[in-house]
Amino acid sequence: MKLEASADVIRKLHPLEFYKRFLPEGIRPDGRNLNKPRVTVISAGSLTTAEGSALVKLGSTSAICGIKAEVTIPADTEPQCGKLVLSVELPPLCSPNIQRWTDSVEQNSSLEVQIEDILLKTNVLNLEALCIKDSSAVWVLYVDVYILEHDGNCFDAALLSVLTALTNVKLPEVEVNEEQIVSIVEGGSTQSLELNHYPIPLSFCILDDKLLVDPTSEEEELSSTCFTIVYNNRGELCSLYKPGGKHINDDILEECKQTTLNRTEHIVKLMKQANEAKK
Amino acid sequence: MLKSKTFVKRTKKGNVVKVVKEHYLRDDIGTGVGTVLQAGAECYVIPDTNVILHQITVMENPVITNVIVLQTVLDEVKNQNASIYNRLRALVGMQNKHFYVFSNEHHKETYVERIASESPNDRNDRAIRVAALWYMRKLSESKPVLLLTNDRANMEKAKFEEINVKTIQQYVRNDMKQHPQLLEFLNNSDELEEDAEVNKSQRKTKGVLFQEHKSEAEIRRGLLSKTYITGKLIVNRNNINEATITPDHGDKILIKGFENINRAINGDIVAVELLPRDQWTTPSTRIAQEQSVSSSSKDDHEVGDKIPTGRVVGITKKNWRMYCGSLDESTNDPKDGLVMRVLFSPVDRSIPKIRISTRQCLSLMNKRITVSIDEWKSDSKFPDGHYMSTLGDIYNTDVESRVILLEHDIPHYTFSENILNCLPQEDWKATVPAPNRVDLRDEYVMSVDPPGCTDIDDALHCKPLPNGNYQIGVHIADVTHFVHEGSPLDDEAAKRGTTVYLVDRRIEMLPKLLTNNLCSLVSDVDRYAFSVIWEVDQDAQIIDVRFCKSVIRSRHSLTYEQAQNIIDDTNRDDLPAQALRNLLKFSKLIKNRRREAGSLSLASPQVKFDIDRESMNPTDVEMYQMRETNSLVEEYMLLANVSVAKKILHEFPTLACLRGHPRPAPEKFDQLLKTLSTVDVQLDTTSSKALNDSLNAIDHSADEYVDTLVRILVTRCMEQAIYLVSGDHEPDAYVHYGLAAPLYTHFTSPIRRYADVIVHRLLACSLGLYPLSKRLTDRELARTIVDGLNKRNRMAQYSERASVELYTNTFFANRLVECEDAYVVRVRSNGLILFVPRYGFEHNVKILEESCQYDDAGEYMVLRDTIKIKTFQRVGVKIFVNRGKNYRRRLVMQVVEPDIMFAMDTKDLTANMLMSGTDDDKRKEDVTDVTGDVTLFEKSSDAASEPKNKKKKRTK
Amino acid sequence: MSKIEFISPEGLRVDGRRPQEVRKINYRLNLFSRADGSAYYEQGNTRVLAAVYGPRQVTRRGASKHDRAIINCEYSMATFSTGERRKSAKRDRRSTEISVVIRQTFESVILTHLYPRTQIDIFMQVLQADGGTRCACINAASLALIDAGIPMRDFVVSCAAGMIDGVALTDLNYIEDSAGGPDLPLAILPKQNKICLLQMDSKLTIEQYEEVMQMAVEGCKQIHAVLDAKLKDVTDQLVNKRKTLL
Repeated sequence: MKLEASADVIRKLHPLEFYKRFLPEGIRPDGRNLNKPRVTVISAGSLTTAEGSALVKLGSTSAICGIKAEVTIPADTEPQCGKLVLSVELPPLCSPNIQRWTDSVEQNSSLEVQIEDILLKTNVLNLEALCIKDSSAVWVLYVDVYILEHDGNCFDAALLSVLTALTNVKLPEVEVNEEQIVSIVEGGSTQSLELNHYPIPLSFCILDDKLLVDPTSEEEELSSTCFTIVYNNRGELCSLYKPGGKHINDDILEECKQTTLNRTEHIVKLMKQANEAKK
Repeated sequence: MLKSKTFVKRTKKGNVVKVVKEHYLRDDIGTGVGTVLQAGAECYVIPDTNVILHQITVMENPVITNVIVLQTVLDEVKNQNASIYNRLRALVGMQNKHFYVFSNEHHKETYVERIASESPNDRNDRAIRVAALWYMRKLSESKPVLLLTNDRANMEKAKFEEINVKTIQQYVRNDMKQHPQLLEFLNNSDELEEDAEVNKSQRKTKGVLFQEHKSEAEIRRGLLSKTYITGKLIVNRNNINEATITPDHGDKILIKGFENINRAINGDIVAVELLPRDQWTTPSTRIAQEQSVSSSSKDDHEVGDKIPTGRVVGITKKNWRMYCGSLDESTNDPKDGLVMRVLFSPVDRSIPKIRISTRQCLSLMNKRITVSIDEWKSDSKFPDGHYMSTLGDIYNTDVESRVILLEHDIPHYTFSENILNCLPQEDWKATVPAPNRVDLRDEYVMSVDPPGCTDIDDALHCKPLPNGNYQIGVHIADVTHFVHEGSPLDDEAAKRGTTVYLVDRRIEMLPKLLTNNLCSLVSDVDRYAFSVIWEVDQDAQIIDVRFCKSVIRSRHSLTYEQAQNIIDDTNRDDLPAQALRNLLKFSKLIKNRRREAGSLSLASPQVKFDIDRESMNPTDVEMYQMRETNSLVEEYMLLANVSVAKKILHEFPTLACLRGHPRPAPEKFDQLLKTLSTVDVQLDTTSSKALNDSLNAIDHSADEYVDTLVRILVTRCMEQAIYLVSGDHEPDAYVHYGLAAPLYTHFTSPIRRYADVIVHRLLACSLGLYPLSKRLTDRELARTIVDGLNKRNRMAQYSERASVELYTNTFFANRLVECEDAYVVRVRSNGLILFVPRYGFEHNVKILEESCQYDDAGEYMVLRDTIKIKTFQRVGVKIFVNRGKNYRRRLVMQVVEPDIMFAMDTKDLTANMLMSGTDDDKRKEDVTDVTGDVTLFEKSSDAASEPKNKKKKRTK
Repeated sequence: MSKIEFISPEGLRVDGRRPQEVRKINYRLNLFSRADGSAYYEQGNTRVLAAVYGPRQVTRRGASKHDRAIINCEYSMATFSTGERRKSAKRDRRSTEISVVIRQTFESVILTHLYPRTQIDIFMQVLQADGGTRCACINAASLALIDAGIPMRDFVVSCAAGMIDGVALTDLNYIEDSAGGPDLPLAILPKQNKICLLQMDSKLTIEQYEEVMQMAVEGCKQIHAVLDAKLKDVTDQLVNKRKTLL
């Protein structure tokens, strides 16, 4: 058996070795430079059953987000605040490594918490804007993300899909009567949501001491650490997330921050284009 | 091509539902020219939605043909007015009208998308114009396409787009000049101003009489916030300026005064706003009268009887229909050829007078005509309407009978082509042997019916069995063999629901070929039947029952009289005589058992008219006579119905179609018991058995007729028997109170009742002879059918009574009865209610109050201190007919023995006779409480008796 | 009584189709790089994804069969796929039932004996539901299996038919499906003219059944024609690419 004929075999059996042949050359097996994110495709409004929706592809990683709106009674403590309920699912369809729904529970939950934190703590959306009538009726937005294909960097794909879907949301015009019954105005206009800012994420990993931008799932598995930086379109740092792994230096972090910051404008433009295209 | 339509709505739970619908656009929809539309037509007309809604009568005129009905228009019409939609659909179904439905919403080239700035209405108008343009392009110049619209904006846009467009008025006046009769039907209420020369000159601008109706949105909001209440408006027949609504939840609301009724018409669904509490008032007329009659002490708390009072703020659903009536009798100087605006007064007294324009005023005087309402403006005292058709001369019995049918919404047109196509060949013969059919031709089957009966739906046989028991068979015409489920024939029968018997005609549920020929179990012909066969022992206890589809050959078609004679003829001991005697013997045993169980024997007055064949006027009236053999047949019909009810309920616990008769509410008896107590008659109303026993215990030694009278009065306390679907009710509701049967249904007269047809199918299913179809298992559908049947039955009863009333009036119009026996049914402070046994009707006699002393207990009244009149007393009356306003004939009765003419309000006769309608109506309403099952005298029969009387009436 | 007119007297259904017409069909193969086969399938407004993994190692020890591959199917509906938001996204009873039905359908069609001791996973995700998700998933799975190159006896195509107001209709959409009439999902092997799935759980007379069945078969054949034609195109393109590469 000839060894050189089976790069695939080497990749399967000695993946790290395989990568070590590439990275020093400043190139990755998929042909990218180390600091180049994958081609990002954003489209909005493809699901007609949802009030807002978006599909985001980072290379082959793809996430679809659908937002359904319902009317509910606000909490007593926050009578003017609407609600936002987020869920992220990694169905078995998305990856060979996930064979059952239960296999992805941990990943789901951590993605949910991270995204929810960013949305709520950095005040992406004014929850007051979801108020229909003070202390009697508010909108609740169910934001559901499905990772359709998991090829690394789910977080970026998921967060971008949520943001795009939020900008895509169209709420029907409603009226509230004296009995506090909310009814939809037939033939009424629709209302879009205004986002305060767009927190744009970018994830990195360290593989063989090299910094890789937007890792694939293979790279994530081989890496010694992964971390995510989120900047918004106003140049403010929104989140920094590094769950354990190998230590990194400040200067690497600085470099990453800069890369992230540089990317925000491009992504926000893509998002807006996606929404325009749908109109 | 594909379009997607999205809209959002909210569910009951409060969740938002986004509905996404696909909308396919096609290119295979044709113009219809040459298929539906005539290729050589002069012009193709495209009416817009409002033209259809307002001018449906014009559209229905036979001269209007080749009309293109756009889907957009059809959908809008459907949403706005179901009845006009149905009429439009009917037009589309008529071959000679050439109405073509163009599905423009699904056509690639005519579909239009709503633009953001466009209202749905504007979008639809545009869709109509686009479709019109498409037609203009598709069809060559020689075949003009004409858009009809009365909407100014739409018309201007259409003109700009070079569409050939006209208003309906222009079209009728100019293009259809050769058909001036169309003008009569034209509704000019929506006429564009420049065309409205005729109307403008005649309409004086008056002050606003009514408050404007609230907009749809305001009403919806008001209803949600409960500031408005909605319900069906019921106008008091005796006082058109008083109405009530009964909301789903809550108490009855009174609406008084025509400003407050605010142009709503009887039957409309209205939104009502309550008036402040200090403006609440009491209902007038009858109830007030009753109170003053019943006891003077009650006057004190009459104040407390003020009920919620409101005013109409809007009409959510109009119940406008076609009304029968005549031009106001007092119309001044009627002329033909000139457009005159005149008042039309409807027969139905709960409907206001309607103003119409006509060119044939003179010709329409003294005629029954039909009119429909177009609109009711807020500055007009009367609604505006237009003439639709002439029925014929007033007082002509044929015309008046048709009025009765129309007013009661009884379908009486001849069966249409596609219905007749469902019928078998006229020379149809029963094939024997037939699959799944038992050959019973060897049984000695006979039918017993009134003389001249042509639709024989039941026959009997009875024979001894070797084991000493007897076999009794009831054979019912197998109507479902011919009436296939879901066929147009079946749909029509379901729509008609029942055969309606008027005095002079019957409106049949099924075509004659079936009723009088193929289904009728005539003698010496093989006929298909559905048989119930019992084995009974010597005591008539049922040992076994079985059901089968069969083929029989009746040996004799007997009349009741013939059957009675055979039984009574001691010389005869042949097969038929034996069978009949056995049948009679068992029927008596069964009847006794039924009595024991508490089956009621009640009475309701039934008369028959002798009718002069030529003039169609009644020449004599007599009560219907009963024989033993009548009840013989009935008894087996009852038994068959009970057996079938048990079987179908057992097989289909939720789907069985049953006939229930609720026990009457105890308070219904209150008034009667009070009246009876004055003549020492006690009734125990705790159960049907107790009631029956106490009825039988009445001492009628003084006057034999008292017994009958009490039974008649008890009958009026009964509830209406109804059809029901077993799954919709608790088993308690299945009970038939009058027959004291825990279960009952209608099985034995499928020729003239649709309920029996359903029951036949269910029974066939339970025997595995017929597949349990979707229609039978669809409870929603079953419920609508059953509700429809109950309504039809009620209407049939009302119209039958109206017909008797018509003939009674006609009868007395030609004669004066000087002295006839009558019984006092009730004594009131200002009058007597009398019942005349000879003619079977009840009437009131007004007594001047100042001339009499009235006993508080309602027992008697004393006139001039000498003449005492008490309940159930026999008096002599003079009867004649008086003519009221607007061709209303009134029966007048005067007590002549004892002679109390001095106490009668003679000068008041003409005017007051109109008022006497109060009690006339009371009677009518009371009688409607009769179950329709429990009928004359001995016969608490449900099945055969009642209609058979009618057959007799008819055949005289 | 304002009942929906499901079929107009002009013979058009609520969405403008005629009774025997299936909805518009569109699909794409090879969507995902990580799955062995995948397909995106659209039938009207019903949109589903299917991914096939395998044959691969059996995950649950003991489930492995020595003479054939085992098939694992998972059907799930996204929370936002329906008009009203679905509460549970994952395995409710209905999804499980559909998963089992689809698994059984494919067990009889895939040549499982070629891959002993392995497992083939078919995952289906409904993104948007407008009636007929069961059938759409079968079609999507069939395409994904073809994409994965897993040998089958025949192409499996599926279509439902039903009856409303006495008229047999093929490929019911959601509104028609909710009319409460009988619904008959059918999957056939079009080349062999064999039925591999037939579900009917309402009462119908024999005559009606035959009519509805005929409609379903017609629907399947229409769908097969569409799928097959496009598949041939796709294959031709692949072959051509290959040629140019070589």
